[in-house]
Amino acid sequence: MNNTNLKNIEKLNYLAWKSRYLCTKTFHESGKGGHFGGSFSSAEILTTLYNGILRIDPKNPKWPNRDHLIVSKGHMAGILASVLAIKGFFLIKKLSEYDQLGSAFGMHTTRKIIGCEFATGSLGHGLGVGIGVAIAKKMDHFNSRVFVLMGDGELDEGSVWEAFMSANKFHLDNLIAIIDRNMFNMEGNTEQTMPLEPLHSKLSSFGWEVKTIDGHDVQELYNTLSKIPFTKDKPSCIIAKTIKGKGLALKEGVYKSHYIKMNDRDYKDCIANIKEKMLNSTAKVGENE
Amino acid sequence: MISVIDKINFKEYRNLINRDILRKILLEIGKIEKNTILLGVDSLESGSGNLFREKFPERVFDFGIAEANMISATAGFSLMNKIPIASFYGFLVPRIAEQIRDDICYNNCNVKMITNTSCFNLATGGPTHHGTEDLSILNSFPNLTIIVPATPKETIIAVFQAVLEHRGPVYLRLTRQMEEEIYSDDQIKKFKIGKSITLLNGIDITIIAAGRSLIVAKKAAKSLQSKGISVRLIDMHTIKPIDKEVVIKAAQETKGIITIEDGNLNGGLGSTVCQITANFFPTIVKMIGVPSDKFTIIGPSEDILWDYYGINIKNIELLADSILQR
Repeated sequence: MNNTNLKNIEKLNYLAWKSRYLCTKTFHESGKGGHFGGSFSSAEILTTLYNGILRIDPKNPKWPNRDHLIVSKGHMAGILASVLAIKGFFLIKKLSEYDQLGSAFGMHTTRKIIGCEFATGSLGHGLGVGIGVAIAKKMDHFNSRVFVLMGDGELDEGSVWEAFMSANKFHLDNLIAIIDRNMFNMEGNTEQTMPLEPLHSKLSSFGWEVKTIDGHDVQELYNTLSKIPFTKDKPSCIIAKTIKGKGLALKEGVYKSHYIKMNDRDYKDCIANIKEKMLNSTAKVGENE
Repeated sequence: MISVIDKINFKEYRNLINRDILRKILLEIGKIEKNTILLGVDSLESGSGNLFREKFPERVFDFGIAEANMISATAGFSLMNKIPIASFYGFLVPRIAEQIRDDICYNNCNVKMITNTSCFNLATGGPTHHGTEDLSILNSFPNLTIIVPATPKETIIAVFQAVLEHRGPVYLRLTRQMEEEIYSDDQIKKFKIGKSITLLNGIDITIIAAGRSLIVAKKAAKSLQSKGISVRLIDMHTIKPIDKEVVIKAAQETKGIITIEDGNLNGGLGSTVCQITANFFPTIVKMIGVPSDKFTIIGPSEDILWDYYGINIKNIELLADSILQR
């Protein structure tokens, strides 16, 4: 790997941890806590998308031929807002409006968040929306793509499988489903709550070209996402294996990370841990962000 | 600017009945607005999409028997400035209520939902195929406009306006039983979404109807008039947002109101009228419709079921008497 590549990869690492930092601060300062588990498992996925893959312009968020990202797991609004702020869609200080009366920023995504394409919250909606966007892009000969970021827990919803089934019928090779496979629903392991495995072969049998990768490895995320569509005329799916609550010292990889309200001591520890990761990344690229 | 009304040639529809009318409406709209697309759930033919499909196959999408996915997809299409027209049976509204609420209404997408199979259209189908609760549910969704046209001409103009002029989500509740016409071309050209039509301006009693029950109401009004009763007859084609001022005025100027609709009494036209009168000018309101506490029954035809539930001239006359004798 040459130096430029290394620098870019470490920059993505740094930005992913920075998004965790902002998200933690936002949740804690609101006094409410938040959906840490699913937010932190998606940090590298979102960061890589916004800083290496998506064809978007933060200064012109409605540019017609932009790529679309539909965040189907709407409860990760905290990390999405942090990543969008870092990318420059709005000022970072706007995040302090989280949870205020009538705010754009709350537990779930809203259309009031600049750069957020679609309001979600109740699960199992996003992929169907992505189907409509993808067909419309093809009708108008746009070469842009639509990405749908989904949780693995929401795959229990029947509407998701209706959507999986239809993507292949419409030959949507401009549609990319990314599954944040953190292995947990809200109240337990996905395989105990409602078994999804063998997920890869299930999705393949629905006509998707599927790749299973490490969802925290920004290099692997970048390389894989750069190769879409994996096969012409077929929808692409990435099963991104992640750790729920990645970065939480005490609750990493457990379902109890789903929603947390931290006490001040845990918050301090969490922030210290995240800052250390940010420093490690900047040290590797030899610059201070 | 040329209004869509000027683009309608009512003569071309004159000899068409029922589903053929909607078939032609969709075709004509497709010719005028190239961004319209038609979505179905194994229902494009029964939903009168065949002429549109023959002419514009590349703008038609069949989602199979998967309504939730189709509704979510309509929202996606609208993000890309398409005007999706989704066609489905009215009884399916409870199943897709969340997709309509979150994806279409909350995101305020320019999506048009059309059912041409409402309430007792599929009479023999029984309760699972009776679309009785669609308005009860949809009436509570912000951003959504609900239109229930009564006659062929009103259906034509309502669909044209909803698709081509109105921006935002619309639910068009049509019927397969639509045959009788009560409007002249000139009368119907004044049609405006959200603005009711007062057909008779009497002072004794008000009848407010929506959909084909307006035909029943008109016949009842004629019978009441022959007995010397002065009737106010209102075509409340837009259930949401309802024409509030006209309801208040009727409450103030007549001795009572009768509402008539082919749907569940909870949350439909009658309920909305009661809310308005209770809040602004309390008066007696008698509601005709499908009772809310019992599932419907199988019947050989829509008309027989209407009679069974009292959606008929006789019931209007009885209720008018009871109001006027108070």
